[in-house]
Amino acid sequence: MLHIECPWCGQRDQTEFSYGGEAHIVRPTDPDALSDAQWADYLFMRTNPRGRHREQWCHTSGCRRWFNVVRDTVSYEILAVYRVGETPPDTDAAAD
Amino acid sequence: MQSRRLPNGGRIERDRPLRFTFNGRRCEGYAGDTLASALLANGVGVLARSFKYHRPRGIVGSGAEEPNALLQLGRDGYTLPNQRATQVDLYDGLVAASVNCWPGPQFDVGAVTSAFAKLLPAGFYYKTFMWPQRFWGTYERYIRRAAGLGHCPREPDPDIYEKINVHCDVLVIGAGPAGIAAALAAGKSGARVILVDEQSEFGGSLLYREAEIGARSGAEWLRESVAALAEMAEVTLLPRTTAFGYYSHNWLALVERVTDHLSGGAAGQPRQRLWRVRARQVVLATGAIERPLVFCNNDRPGVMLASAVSTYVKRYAVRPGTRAVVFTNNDTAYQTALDLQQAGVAVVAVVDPRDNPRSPLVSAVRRQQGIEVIDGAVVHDVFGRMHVSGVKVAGFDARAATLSGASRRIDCDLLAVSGGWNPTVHLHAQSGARALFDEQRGCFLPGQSVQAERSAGGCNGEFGLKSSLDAGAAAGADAARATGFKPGRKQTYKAPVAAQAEARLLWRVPAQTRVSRAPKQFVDLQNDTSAADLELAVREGFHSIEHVKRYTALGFGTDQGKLGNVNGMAIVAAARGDNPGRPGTTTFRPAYTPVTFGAIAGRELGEFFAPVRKTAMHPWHEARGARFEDVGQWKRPWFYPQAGEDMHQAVNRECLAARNGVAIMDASTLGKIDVRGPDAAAFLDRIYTNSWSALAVGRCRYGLMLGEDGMVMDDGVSARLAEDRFHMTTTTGGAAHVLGWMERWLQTEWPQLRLHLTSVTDQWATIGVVGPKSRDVLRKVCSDIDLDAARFPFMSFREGSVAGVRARVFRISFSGELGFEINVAANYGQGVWEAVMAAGVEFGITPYGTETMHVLRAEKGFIIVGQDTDGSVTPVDLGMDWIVSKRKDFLGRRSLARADCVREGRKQFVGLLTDPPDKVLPEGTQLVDDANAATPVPMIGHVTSSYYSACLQHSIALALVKGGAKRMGETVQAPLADGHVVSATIVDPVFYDREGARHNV
Amino acid sequence: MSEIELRTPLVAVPGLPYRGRDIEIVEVASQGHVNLRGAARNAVFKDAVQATAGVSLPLAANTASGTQPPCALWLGPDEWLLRLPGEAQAATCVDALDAALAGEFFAASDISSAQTVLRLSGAHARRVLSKGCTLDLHPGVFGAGRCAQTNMAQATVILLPLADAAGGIEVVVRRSFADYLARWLLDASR
Repeated sequence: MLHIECPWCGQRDQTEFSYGGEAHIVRPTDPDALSDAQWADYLFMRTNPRGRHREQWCHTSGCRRWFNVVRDTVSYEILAVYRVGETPPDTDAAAD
Repeated sequence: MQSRRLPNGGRIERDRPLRFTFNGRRCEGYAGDTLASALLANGVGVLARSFKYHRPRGIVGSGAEEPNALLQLGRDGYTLPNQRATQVDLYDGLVAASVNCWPGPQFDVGAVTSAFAKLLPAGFYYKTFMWPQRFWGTYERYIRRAAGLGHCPREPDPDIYEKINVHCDVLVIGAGPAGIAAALAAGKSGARVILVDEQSEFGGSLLYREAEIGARSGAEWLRESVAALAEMAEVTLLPRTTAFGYYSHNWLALVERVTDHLSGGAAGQPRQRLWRVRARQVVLATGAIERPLVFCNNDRPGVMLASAVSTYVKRYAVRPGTRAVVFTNNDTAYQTALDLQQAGVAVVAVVDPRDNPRSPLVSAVRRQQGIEVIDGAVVHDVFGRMHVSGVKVAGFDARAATLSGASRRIDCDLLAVSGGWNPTVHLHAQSGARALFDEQRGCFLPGQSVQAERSAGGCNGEFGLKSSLDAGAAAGADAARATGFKPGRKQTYKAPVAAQAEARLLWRVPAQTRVSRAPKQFVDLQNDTSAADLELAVREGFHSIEHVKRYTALGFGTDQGKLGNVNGMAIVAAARGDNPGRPGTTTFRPAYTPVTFGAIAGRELGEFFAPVRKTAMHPWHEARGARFEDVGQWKRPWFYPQAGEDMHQAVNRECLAARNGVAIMDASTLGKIDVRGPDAAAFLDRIYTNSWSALAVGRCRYGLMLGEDGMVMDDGVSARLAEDRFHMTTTTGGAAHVLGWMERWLQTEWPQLRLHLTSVTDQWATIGVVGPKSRDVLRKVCSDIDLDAARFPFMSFREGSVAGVRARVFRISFSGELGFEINVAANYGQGVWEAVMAAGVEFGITPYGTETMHVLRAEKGFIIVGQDTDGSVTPVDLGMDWIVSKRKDFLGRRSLARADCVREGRKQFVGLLTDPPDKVLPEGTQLVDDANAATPVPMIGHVTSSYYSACLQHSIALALVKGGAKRMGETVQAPLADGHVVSATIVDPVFYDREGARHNV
Repeated sequence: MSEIELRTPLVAVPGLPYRGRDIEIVEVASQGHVNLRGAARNAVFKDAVQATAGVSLPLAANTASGTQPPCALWLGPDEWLLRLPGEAQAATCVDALDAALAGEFFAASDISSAQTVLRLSGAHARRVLSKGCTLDLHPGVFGAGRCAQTNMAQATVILLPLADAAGGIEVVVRRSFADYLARWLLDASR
């Protein structure tokens, strides 16, 4: 059971959160300019790294804020937590 | 009666005798006994039959490692299968029985398999029952009946179980010397400490080994230390509690046996409690489990672990035999020889494969009268079938790993064995760390920690008392320090340190003949896995330890290989020509010992399985005899049967009332969201497919939401309360999801938009008043709203009061009739509902439930998201192009232009009229063009909604059919599960009042 | 405000109020609840709340301005729960804020009917709550002055520790879940 640090409420049990998948997927500003393949890439394609992963979580049962987490998908270690709009902190291999 | 009970000593309470039965035999024990110690005291030797060969088996260990003594406890709903007698605290009236044997363990019909043991090697079942494949189901049934352990109760469990969540600074697992020292060190610093131990008493090895700590005896130190811990306000002591799982982020699961040890339980107390612990630091002080030795017939009743023998003698004052041989490759079992001697058991020999071991303890044994120390020798076989009657001892050539010289027989009825110690690294490994093989000590030790945990004492290879205490104290202090407490000066203990002779690793004792021909040398007693099975597996190409495990069942039992695994891995290594540690361990998985389903379920069953949400009018519905339907977590009235009515009749009556008179329904469960801010309309433009910025204040509009993939996600009617404020409604089941979805876009993608979303679902009770006479009813309870059709037009709303309560009234319709939805503060919901009912009496107002709501909307062809749609349906598929704006972007719009969304042959929303007209198709029925076509018959769609329409006097259905919009008037076939085929004609999904005249009155 | 009878969410739960050994459970009904949204740095907004409701909005996460109404509980960086003595005050407060803050970016929603309060007191109160809640409820960690939104037995709740010596806690729960949660708490208190 993960213990996740909400940037506002602090450490809370995983059961209070919902998972939002990969972070930093930006909605295209002009969807019509995209080919079907480009749109499908935005819509469906996600990285699935073994190791550090930037992902979105929401403190659903708490303050209802969405935020970002850098989590190691092997050890489940949470390396960093940062708010929406903030630059991802440097966690060494985060750019892998 | 207790023929094997020693006249004095032990930690049992002799003034509290307890009665129990075993296989119907009346027995007696004392408080403080385990079932195992009491059975031994009563002279019970054979209490089980083995899993595969049905060989007689007796007690081997004294704790969690016990592979044989798995008994069925209790009767009826209270029965528990496969309980380790060594971990069951005795209580008055306990009923225990053997499993896996019939009629009993002394004489077992199933033992006939033993005669064919040579024909049942590893993989026997895989190899034999492969062919013909379709018979496997039959084979399996018989194989399972022949094997298997205890039986499950057939009745519901009458006991209560509960869960509790706790946090602590330091969780100490294991309350032997190291664990107690750790808890003391951490507790003194003021840290929040939890100390758990699976046994009924704290103390670990101090419970059966005499010791000296400082100036006190071990027993005195134990008593004082536990008393000191109990005094500390922030320390929680949990005996009879097993830490069985170590999960991510230092989250551990413990199961406390609260009343298992009490006769008949305790009123109001749960039987077991599941502790879910978030620990900042963990100290593992789980000790070590003695390793057995592998030799021929080493499974005979009377062969026991030396430490277990000492435990029975010293802690429980039980003599497990009368004439004993000790077989050990290390010093610790020499103490067992002394313990037995002291208890009056004749110890005739200590057999030791080492050549002339020298240490104070060995010397002490050599000095004893009557004990022959036979060094450089091994026990290689056992006499006796139902019980040990003697052992075969021969010289041991360590270099050649063979027997040497002649073999001699020594008579005995107890063989105490020790092959060294296996640190209990299970929790360390579960935490994600890897245990590493220590060549020198010949055991697996904790490796690098990956979570905030540290090991101390026996589980870390620190087997001496002083080293355990000191390591425990240091670990406790370090853990406290790591959580910000100040544990003070480092503490060391004064305890004698005895020099020990080095152990000689011995993974398998050589046999007189080839291993495959020799009597069985058991490695895993619970699964009857022998050394020969392991070697066969390696010969057949199973080299990975995980594969060997699955081929031979090594370590698969309820004991998870606590005794056998390390020997097994070393034997596999030898067969591969590797070092013993090379194959590594199999994965350690929770649970350390089996956990009852009751504890895992806790109170989450029956009425507490999932939350039950109720509306403000729920008591009224109940009083009116409504039948309820689960919609999401909500209880919604389904229909209101009157005396003598079935559902069909009730629904027909309710439908006709709504169409011809007036009817009332509780719509409070609809999701409601207060959308407020200068950008509210702009935001809704992006969320809904249609346009909202142009909606006038005071008006309502139906909206459809899509996922970004273009598929219909939710719908509802929303109203513009003010320029900057909307009252949005969602489906009942979609409320939480829609709010979360909108918050996500707002927070992560469009933070510049200025609006707030607030859930007001629970604030408003919503009363739908429907039917041609609904306005007449409303007029009687609503004095400050002009209800005139022209001044309060369809799809608009008014604020005012209903029955004197502030209200928002919407003139909308999900039934196709003239209708109003009254929203009032839920605290007044039932009062207003009653007022409307009273006002409607003269018009025959009829309450209706969800079933009638469904029929009414289906007659109008209105969709229910999640019933008529399934996540693969676009608005175009539904024929709802009219609601899709071409002039703005919204979520999901681009996807509607994807090639797959515009192709021919997509399933489209249509109506179906059956022939015969009274045949109601089951929802979900597949549709085909020709039911007699060759299989597989091409499926062209399915029925999504289907009802009998009393108003139309015809069965109606809604369906998704490939290319359906262009197939109006064509016939499709619906093959039913009962073999009948029903024909249906494809029609427009709006069956009733296509012009929409009825709501416009 | 009308002849219509007010019915609290828990009016029909058998066994309430409950007085057991070291645990009492009562419904604190009919209080005023206002969900408030706005920018913490907007002085106009904060001053209007102070003037209207008589409370100063707490800015630190998971803190409350007091334990008894009128008080404000932090729910999010731009969200608070105003607790007022009665539901009439909530309606008045919302109307007054709407008037005072016309043109400002904020939202005030009267949710007095949307939730109710269960007060648990006695030495066992926190232990009972721990059966359904993963939050650390140790009085040294979660004492008066704090508040938290969390899950309780699968329902979403707001917890507010009281200032009494026995370490009582109030549980704010949504109306539709209240009946379920009250039954669950009664069962857990057995």
